[in-house]
Amino acid sequence: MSWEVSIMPSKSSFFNKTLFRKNLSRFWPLWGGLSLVGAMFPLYMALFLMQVQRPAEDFSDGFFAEVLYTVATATVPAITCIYAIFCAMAVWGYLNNARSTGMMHALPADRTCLFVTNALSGLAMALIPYAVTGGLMCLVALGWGFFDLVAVVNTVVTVLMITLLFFGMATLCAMLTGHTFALPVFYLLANFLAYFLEMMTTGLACEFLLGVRSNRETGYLGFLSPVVQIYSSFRPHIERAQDGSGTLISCRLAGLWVVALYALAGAAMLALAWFLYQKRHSESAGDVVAFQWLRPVFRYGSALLGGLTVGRLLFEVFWETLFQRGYSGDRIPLWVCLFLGGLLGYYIASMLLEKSLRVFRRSWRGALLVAAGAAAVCLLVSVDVFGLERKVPALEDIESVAITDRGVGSGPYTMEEQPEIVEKLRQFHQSIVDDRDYVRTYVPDWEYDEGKAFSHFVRLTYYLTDGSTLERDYDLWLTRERLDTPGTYDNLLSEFYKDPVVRARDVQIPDGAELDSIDVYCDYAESSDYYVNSADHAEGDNRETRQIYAALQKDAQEGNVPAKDILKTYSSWRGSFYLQLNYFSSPAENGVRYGGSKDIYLAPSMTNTIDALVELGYVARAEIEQWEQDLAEAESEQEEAVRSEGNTVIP
Amino acid sequence: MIEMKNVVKTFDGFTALDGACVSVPDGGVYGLVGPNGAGKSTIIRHLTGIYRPDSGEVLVEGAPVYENPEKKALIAAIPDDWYYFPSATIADMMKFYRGFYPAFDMARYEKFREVFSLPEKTPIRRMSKGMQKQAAFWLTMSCRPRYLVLDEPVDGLDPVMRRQVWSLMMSDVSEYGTTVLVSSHNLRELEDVCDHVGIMSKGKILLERSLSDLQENIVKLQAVWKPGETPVLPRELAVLHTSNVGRVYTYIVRGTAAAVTERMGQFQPLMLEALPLSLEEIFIYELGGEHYAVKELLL
Repeated sequence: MSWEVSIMPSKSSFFNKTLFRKNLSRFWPLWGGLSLVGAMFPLYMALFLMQVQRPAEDFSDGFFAEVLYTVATATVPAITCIYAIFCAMAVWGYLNNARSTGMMHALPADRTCLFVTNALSGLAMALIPYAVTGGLMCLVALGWGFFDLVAVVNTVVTVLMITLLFFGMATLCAMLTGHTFALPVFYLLANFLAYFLEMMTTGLACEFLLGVRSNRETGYLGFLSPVVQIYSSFRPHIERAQDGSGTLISCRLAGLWVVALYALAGAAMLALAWFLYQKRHSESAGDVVAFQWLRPVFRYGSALLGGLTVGRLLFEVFWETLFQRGYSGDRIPLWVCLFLGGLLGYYIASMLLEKSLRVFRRSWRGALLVAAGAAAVCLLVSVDVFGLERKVPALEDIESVAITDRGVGSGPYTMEEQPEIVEKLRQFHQSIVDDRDYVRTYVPDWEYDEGKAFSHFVRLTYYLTDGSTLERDYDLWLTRERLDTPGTYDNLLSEFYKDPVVRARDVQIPDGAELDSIDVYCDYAESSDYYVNSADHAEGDNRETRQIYAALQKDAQEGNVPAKDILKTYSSWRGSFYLQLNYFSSPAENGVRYGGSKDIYLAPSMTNTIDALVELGYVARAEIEQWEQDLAEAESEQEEAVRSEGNTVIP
Repeated sequence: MIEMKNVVKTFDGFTALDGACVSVPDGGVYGLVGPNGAGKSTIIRHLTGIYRPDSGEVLVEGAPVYENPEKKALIAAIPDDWYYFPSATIADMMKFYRGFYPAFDMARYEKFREVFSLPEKTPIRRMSKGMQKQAAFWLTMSCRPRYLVLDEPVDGLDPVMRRQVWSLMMSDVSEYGTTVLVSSHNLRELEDVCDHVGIMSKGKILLERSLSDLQENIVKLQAVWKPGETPVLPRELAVLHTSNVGRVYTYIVRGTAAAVTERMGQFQPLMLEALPLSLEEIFIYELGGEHYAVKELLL
């Protein structure tokens, strides 16, 4: 036999079915196991439907869409995120071992063919469980006659896009490393690194920047964490009849475009992975990073992570709890801690790269760079580069603003309806910013300030015209001396609470909210319980709820609601006699109403409300008289104490 | 024909190949020999398209082999550490190879079943090292390669199977004109099968010649001199090594047996005899200049 007849030339191909089949047959426990688990869901659904006594007509097509969309949005992103890395580890596992890499790369197939075949194998493995689960679900739906083709197509598209995203990301990670254990770590970092870094750096910045919140200033890099982003913007939009029947009107997927964008990113990552595979050397099998240019990135990236985690921990444990005084952070101790944490990360990364513990010799240059990096991070977070600390929105940029003081909310106040209140809050905010050195450094001297200084945790929330939100949190000390000094934040906050609009607003539920019930809390109600719910009291009827709320609003209109005294604690404030308004907020974007509540402390001046409560039998008139008498005595005692000692008594 | 031209390959600053040049003629059996770490396996990984050279060329039939499926389809290799899928049987691996190598010959595979007598349905990982090596031969030879690249091919095989394997390879060479490149430390066996030899050291091919040329150009001379008249041999005689037991001196000299004997005869030894060198001796004495002589250490 001559070679000319025995050998057919091997044509270049983008796909090798032998390798595809081999991948699927080798790793069948992976996709078979998940398929089996997935099949439990349609099985459960079928058994559930068999047990339901209602006729099949009760299940609309919308019911099937609701089930599919709920599964697609609630479980598919998380399951795919985890499962995709297993698929990637299966099909790209050969790259982590010199022997297997040698065998695969010696085969008569080019890298493109190997890449395409392995990628398709991985995608197939990732999709088979969904195909099995979805197929069985469709059979169940067809059996019960509530099949919805549009919902099926939407779900299939969703699953395809999410799989493409996470498998693309896992494949890209697989191309960057040659180590089995490094791959899941890289994948985890790829999913959450941006979110984590942003959280850590802003968290660190909050040590220095007054008022800036650690978890609300983030979001600029949030899109780099797909799981977080998908879960925050991709959900079913379910509309139900508001007539109490809860009948499903419509069900659609909200935020599918976000998933589509991420799917494009997944495709781009696959393309990048293919490009890297062409460039990748076979000898990188077993290396933590597969490319030379990635080594410094890995080394100094680990140093950064070490600094932000271990360094931050050292700072909080050893400096903040033992030595730090006052509000602000301290740069030098922070630098030392960041440097130590960074150095740890740097040497661990070096050991992994060199596969040796002997990495200390001639590493002083790297250590110097880590020190410089720690100094840069310190400087970046402590110097308010972006003016976050000083930022007070201009009046024209504000749509509305709300304040929460000691956990009790007020507002939001809109520019359209209450521009003067918005300006008052803005001025209050500006005064805090202007007085930030005082806020940072003032620590009460309890020998002298006992009863003079009151701690307030204040949160200002601006809803801006560009659709964004700005939040600031302040731990403020309020004192009687400053309260009487115009222009101080103490004085401005007090003036804000005195405004009749605020006093009226503080006894209202938010705009668009639906009042559900009112809880009445009263220490003086001897004949009844301390706590009574208005709905229960009226045996499920909301007649009493509406009556109490109407009386409350009448008090507001008549100016009977007193201004909040900010130098008193709530435990002593008018005794324990207050109402809790329970309501459902206006429907959110997804159609869901969230529950909320608001506490209203009663004062003797709120006669309409008190009369309504007496009339409805929540409290007796004698109990009210006793409460008013006790309150008057307590108030006069306090005023006497202030007059005689210049102090305010904290009970 | 397989050719490597000035191939350089470095790993993390370590130069594994430093301008290596190899030329394997079609239909020849080329023995690649060299000390440990000389770069033999690196050369083999280049020839099979696993490694991409930093510089230089690796050509099969005049075309680069890296990322060239057509050329790679002509080559089958058995590396020192042959890889098989962890749970795979010989039958599984056969199906795998058959899907990649267009010339895979099922009839030949069936014939080899009798030769190797291995259990086809047993996972390869459960087989002994020697059986795994046989399995590698079975599958590789069934691919009907035009170029067979072997790294320590008979390592782990018993003497009968060694002979069997060499015999199969030689019959392929003679019948189909298969070109074989084999790397081994067993020079005795290489001497029996190779017609060309390349000696490597420190990433370079020091010497590349046909075995007969090699053996003709280096000679071992045994001479007996009169007492007290041992001559100082001239530089142009290219003596690689000298040793003596009593008055019997042994010289390893570069050159043909006739020329060296004639030149040495001018010093009038009592007895002079030219002996052929084995490949092992050539290897040792050629590398002796590369500071590879056996160290005479007293422990």
